[in-house]
Amino acid sequence: MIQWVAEYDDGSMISELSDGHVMSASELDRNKLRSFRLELNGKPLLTLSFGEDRPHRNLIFRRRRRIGSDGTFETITIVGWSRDVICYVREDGSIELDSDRGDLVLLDSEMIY
Amino acid sequence: MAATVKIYEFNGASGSGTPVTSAGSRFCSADTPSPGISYPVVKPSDGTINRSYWKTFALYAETSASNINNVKWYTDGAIGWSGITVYVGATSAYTQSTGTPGSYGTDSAVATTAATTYTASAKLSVAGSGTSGRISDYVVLQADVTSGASGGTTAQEIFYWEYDEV
Repeated sequence: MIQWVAEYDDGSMISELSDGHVMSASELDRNKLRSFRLELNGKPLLTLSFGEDRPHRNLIFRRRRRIGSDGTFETITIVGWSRDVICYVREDGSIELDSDRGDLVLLDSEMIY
Repeated sequence: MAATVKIYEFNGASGSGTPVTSAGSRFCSADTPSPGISYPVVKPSDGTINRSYWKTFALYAETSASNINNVKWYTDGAIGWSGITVYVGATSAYTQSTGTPGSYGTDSAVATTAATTYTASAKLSVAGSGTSGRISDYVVLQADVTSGASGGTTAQEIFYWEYDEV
């Protein structure tokens, strides 16, 4: 299972799952975000650093689900910091780096102005 | 835990929803989500078309989800049913399927584009977003059966729904 862990500038850590509550990445304070890490079964898989380049790096995070009419279910985790730099992470941990492939709907909080 | 999001089929005058199981959904000549092998679409005589009742589907979140958007629908680009063409379209309004039970359905005004037009590289965009209940607009499917169709049941074909959890 792929989950995320975020670190703020003050060193505090926020996990996607804490005390049974599932937090949405859209709830993170992007103005304080130092890094955003994906973990596969608790082991670090991929880390995005923001830091001083934060104005030019805005977290984009999605879980793209696909349901087949035969009941099959797949998830690709999409993470990056701009439309041009997106990682597509499969459930087995394999990663493809690409652009947004023209089919990502960004929230206002994910735009870089 | 991920939210429980399923494909639902909608039937009846009020459009009550039923989750689609791994057995899939079956085109037939009645407004029912589970016809079994009852209500076949009768193969027509030469030069005519018998349509199935149209099938109405949507994405439905059974448990609360992070906000869902960017809903898409598509096929693998081929439907291996000789003499049968499946059409698709999307709509915000539910309309109960009609026709002659046990024989054929009325032509849908929504399902008008060949389903195989929509593939992984050219998906049908379906309006809608949300966190619970019916998330998306309706996707309507209808099978047009010609005299070139083989009798009996067809092999299962798989259609795909895709969405983003933000």
